[in-house]
Amino acid sequence: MMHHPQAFHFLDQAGLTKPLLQLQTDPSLFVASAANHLLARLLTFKQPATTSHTTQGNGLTVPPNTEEEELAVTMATSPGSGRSVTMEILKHLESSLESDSHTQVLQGLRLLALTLPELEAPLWGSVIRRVLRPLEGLVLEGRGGGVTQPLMDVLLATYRSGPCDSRLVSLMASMLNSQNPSDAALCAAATLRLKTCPPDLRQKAVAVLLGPLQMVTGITLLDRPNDRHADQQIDHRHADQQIDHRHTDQQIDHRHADQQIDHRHTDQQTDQQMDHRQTDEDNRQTDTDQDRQTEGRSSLSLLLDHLNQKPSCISLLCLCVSSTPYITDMESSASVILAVVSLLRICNGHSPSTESKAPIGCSKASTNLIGCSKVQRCGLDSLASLNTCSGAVELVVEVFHVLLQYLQNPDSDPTVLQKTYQAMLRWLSVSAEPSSLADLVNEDLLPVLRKRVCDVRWEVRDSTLEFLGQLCACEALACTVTPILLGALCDQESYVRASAISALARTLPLPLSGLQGEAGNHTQEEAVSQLLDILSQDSEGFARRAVVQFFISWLKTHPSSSSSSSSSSLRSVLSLGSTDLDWEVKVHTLELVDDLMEETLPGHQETELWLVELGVVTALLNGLFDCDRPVALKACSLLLRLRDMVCPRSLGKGAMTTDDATATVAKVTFDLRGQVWEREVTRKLQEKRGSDWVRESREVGCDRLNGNRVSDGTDGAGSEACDRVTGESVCEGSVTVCEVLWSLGLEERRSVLSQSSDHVQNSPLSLLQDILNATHTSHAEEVIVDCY
Amino acid sequence: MKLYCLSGHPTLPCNVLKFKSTTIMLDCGLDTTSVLQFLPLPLVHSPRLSKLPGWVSKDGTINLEKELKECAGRVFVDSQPEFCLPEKELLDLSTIDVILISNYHCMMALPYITEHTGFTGTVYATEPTLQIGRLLMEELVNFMERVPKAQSATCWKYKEIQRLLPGPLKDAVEVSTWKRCYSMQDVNSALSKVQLVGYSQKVELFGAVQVTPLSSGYSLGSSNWIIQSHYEKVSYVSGSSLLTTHPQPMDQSSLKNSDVLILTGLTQMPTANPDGMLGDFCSNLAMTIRAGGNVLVPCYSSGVIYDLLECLYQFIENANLGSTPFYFISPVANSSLEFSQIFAEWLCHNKQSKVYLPEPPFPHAELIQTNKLKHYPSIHGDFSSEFRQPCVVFTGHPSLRFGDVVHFMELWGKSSLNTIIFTEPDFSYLDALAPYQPLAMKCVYCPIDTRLNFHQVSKLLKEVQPLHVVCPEQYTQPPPAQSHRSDLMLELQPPPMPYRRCSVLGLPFRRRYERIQLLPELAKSLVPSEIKPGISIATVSAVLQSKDNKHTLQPVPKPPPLPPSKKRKRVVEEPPEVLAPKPLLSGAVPLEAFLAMLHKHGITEVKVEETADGHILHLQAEDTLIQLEEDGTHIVCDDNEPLRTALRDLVLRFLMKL
Repeated sequence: MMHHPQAFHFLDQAGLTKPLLQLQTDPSLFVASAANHLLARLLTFKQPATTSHTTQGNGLTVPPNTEEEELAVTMATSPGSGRSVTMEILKHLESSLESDSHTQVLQGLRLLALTLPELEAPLWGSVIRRVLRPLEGLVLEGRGGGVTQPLMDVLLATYRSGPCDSRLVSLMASMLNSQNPSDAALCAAATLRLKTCPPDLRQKAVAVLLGPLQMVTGITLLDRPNDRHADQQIDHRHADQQIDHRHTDQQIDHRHADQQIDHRHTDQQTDQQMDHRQTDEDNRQTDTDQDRQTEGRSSLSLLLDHLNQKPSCISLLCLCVSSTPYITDMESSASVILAVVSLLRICNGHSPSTESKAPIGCSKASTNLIGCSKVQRCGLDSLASLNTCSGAVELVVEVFHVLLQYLQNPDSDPTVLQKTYQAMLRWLSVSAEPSSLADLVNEDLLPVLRKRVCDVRWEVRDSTLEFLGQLCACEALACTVTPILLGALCDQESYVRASAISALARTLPLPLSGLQGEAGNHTQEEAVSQLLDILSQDSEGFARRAVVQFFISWLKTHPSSSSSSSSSSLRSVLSLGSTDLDWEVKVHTLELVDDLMEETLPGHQETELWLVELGVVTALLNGLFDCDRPVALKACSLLLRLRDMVCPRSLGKGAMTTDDATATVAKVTFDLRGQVWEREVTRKLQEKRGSDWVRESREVGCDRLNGNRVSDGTDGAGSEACDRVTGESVCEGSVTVCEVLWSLGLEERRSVLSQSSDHVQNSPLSLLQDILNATHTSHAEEVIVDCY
Repeated sequence: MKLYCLSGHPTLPCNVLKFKSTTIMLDCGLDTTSVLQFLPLPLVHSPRLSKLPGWVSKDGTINLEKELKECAGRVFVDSQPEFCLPEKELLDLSTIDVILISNYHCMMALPYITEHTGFTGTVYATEPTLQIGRLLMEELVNFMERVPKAQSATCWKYKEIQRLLPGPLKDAVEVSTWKRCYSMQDVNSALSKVQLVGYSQKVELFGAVQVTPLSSGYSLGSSNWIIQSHYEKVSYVSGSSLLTTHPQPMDQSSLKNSDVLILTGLTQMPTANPDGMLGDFCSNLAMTIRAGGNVLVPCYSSGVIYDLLECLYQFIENANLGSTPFYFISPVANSSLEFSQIFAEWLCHNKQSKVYLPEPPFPHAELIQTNKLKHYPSIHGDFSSEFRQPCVVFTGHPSLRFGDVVHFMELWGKSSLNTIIFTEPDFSYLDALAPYQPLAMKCVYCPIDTRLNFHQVSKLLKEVQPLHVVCPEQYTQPPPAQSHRSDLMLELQPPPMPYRRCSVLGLPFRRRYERIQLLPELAKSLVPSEIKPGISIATVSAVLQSKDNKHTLQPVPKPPPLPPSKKRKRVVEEPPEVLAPKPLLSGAVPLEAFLAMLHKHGITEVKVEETADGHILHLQAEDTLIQLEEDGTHIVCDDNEPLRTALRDLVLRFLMKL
């Protein structure tokens, strides 16, 4: 309703804003959310009208009192303009942000986040000016606990929608300083995703995100000496040594102290040591600086606590590692890759790094991560997108090793394996000289892929085959891979068969260098016959669709494949595909026809043979009379194209031309006997011919056809009569292609078919039918569900 | 309460618990890893093995050519394989009252314990444990006796010589106690001492303790044991599993409230997840078969093999392996496959319910019916005529030192098309393969160990909350190969008590109470009087009878009625007079009130001295001391009986009589 000004006025005049504002905190989430959306709409609805009343500009520059007055004046003078509504909402917004109630704050923030991107300059400014102070209150006074996400949404929306403001930036910076590492990371991740971001803020965000990674993997990511996190890192090194030390103590004493207490204890000790050292080193350090240091360290221990608990550890690291692709512009992007690799190793239960002797940052945290597929997926995703950053080339082997570990690990989740394959593909393209990886691929990767193709889980087999197909596209492995793919054609799972076929299709463009001439041909023939078997026998649509698509790409890669064997297999594909039960198979078959026409028709010498013998016309007509609309539509447009290319208009009218080629085409006949659409085409033909004798014979013809249908040709008399009366061309089943094409009324058909089925669905007729159907069924419950 | 640890192998335990007056042996596992030091016993003459060079020390001083052979850089003992027995010196085995068996893998040393040691006790085990244990022992004896070896190597065992030997032989422990395999006669005699028990059945041992087997979920009939008296409870957890495989699920709740929990038999492969391994097993198998190779699976003839066959039953259709034959070769193959189908009550619910349909609980019945799985007692006989390749062969022994597997290793080892897949976690696969090197065959290690892992066990312990945990020392630190995995160890509060071979642990709790029964007649005669709301007490005079570790209070027997004849003079010795019991006193003497009372009775000169236990009152005029203590009052005066009586009565005024 809010598309109409009348509705707005109604709401305004009826004073419905107040109840709406109350509904904002309704216990039902749906109601509250709907109220919020409506309020946002109300706020943004009347914007253009307000521009005339306020000063142009971004609004922030306007002194507050002026605007207040102005707004008040407007409110008094033009009650219909919606000012009062806006003011009311704004006041409510301000008070709810300052409220102590968590729900109110939350809803206020949500409303703000909804509204801000829509607002334009003057109103935007006044809104910002009103809410900035309460927002500062939320952030700086630490009242923002639990609403970090919506708060950050608001700040980001503000940042994106308007000019940069220093207060805003400092607010975001203080969000990054949040005591809760999860909150800080959440904000940092959001900050990094901003298109433009002040460098200081960005640096801070990076530090927040890399801190946990550094702590867990023990790889130095932050090395700026004056950075808070650098201090943390030194701390954490110390803490580690301390822990190790204590650990040996424990072993000697055979005493076991609680790990967590231990951590804290060592932190404190280290803190003291650090303070001591620092005062020694730098006497000029001010008190405030020391305060900051202590604060930093307490946030470090908070982070440790956070990492020691499994749920928070996992979510924090997921966030951090997913954000790493946004940190690639810094100098140490190679170490970021190393950290991700190291994290992935930890998740797999291996010690974090083989090369660096860095201590394990936080043993409890790494325990939390072992076997955690969520972190594994995030890590692999990030690793995949880190392939473009500087320093990637040197790390290819390292990355490959960890990816191989994932592929070899029998406990890897199918989704994790899938991500591993994606990452593997991306990194395969990184390597500067492919030869350096060839050994790795042949000796390590292929064996494990061979095993994965035999995996118990079909998901794994499926993604492995898909990967093999993709691998073929960039590596000359076809001769090794093709037999594996062929073996997978008999898989029990249809998805796997389909993937195998698609992968086979990807190997097509490659010269089968490994297989010498005949052997290669033999393999291919074998493959083709196997595929045709699948097309004709497979019970699942996925595999059959894939077969047709295989032939589409086959045609593309072997354009001049006019050998007898290939055309016979094409014929089979067309006849099987066009009569398939699955509509997608049929559409794909028509696409294949499309490609065939594209390739062959212009100037082909034996068009006629080709059209009929390959079964192109039959396939198209099969499609045209199909009950699935998309199939029929596609067939119809293809037929139209065919008609325009092969049978110029003059032919349709029965006139002969002097062009030989066209003439031969005109004489091309085909047999329509036994086809499902025989009767339909005959009728159309007869209609078209329109002469008296046709009209006369129609009844006879129909009789014949009816007879055919009922008693399958036992009515010999009818058949003979038909022969006699309608002439050879129709009743013997042979008709000329052109005549048929012209008789079908294709344009008309196309216009009917191109109306989407929605025109039936949306018409009252459909509803009526539903109701009528409903009354006939006895299952009342189903009806109710349907009607709902 | 003491625990004697006779085996250092964490999954093949042998511990003795002395609890109250009983001596209970918990499992008697046989450490068979010692056989890895020996040369394989080939079923048919192997030219390769017989041509191996003998070992002579580098300086030529020690010549053990006859006893030790060298193969691929390692030295093996050429003799009948020997086993490392549980410690026999720590304790007199004849004093053992009962042996509790937790599963059939943990009873293989039974004949060594019960025979020729003077053992006279009873062995308790469930029926499947006994039957399948018997099969495994039979198989072992059969493997050994089938290929008799004339000579027996002993020289290498001398300490001075062993010290100079190379490689793992030098480090082998307790070699002097290693023994050859027992005979079938020993097996039968040992197993005749087994008494069958069912889950949750309570078995009284001499009235002192009660033992109860509980389902442990690891194998057919596998059990954990509860050993309890009225006030103490010890749980023995050995080889348990929480995975849903074929056996009945583990009973966890009965383990609650234990004073001590002895934890053994955790997974030997903490990093290998059984599901993943099973998947790996299947894919490796399919890969080999597709490439035209054979698959050899060395395994025990019972246990995981049932799960492997079940998994393959589903997998072979998927992987188009329908036509590949599967062979199971073992002297007890037939019995093992049949036994598994008849122990329905010991199976998991799913399989149990199949029996009512009726259907065989395990799908290997169908594999046998459709001729996909064939079983033979040995490679001789029918097998050789029906053998088709490529195929999959399941056969023992997993150590690759004896059994039919030796033959297949010789047969298939040279082709890289073939694969050997290790599924049993008991032996290191590299050590097992050592005497077959160089080997072209592919080797895959898929150890499937369904026993509890550290994650599961810490969850279990959190739930059942034992006061103390005792476990092998290996569980208190991460595995040596993965020292960074602090998750692969037990971390408990209080820390677990570790044990190793030959440890004797005093278990850290003291028995404080013993239950005593009141006979009804005695109970009837009691007159309780309430001293506090809800607390009544009564004095009891009775005779305590202790018999068979049961204690009963019986009424005091009445004096025999006086003999009717009064002719005889009264005997001098009268039957002891049963006096009415003196009343019991309770309460405390308040000092101030007592002094006031003394004053009232004319005793004024009182010097009060405070002591650790109370007060000493010095009545100076009377030269008398009164010691007032928490649990007694003493009046010390010199021969002044009236004064003492008077003082006593004064004290009694403050006390309550019962």
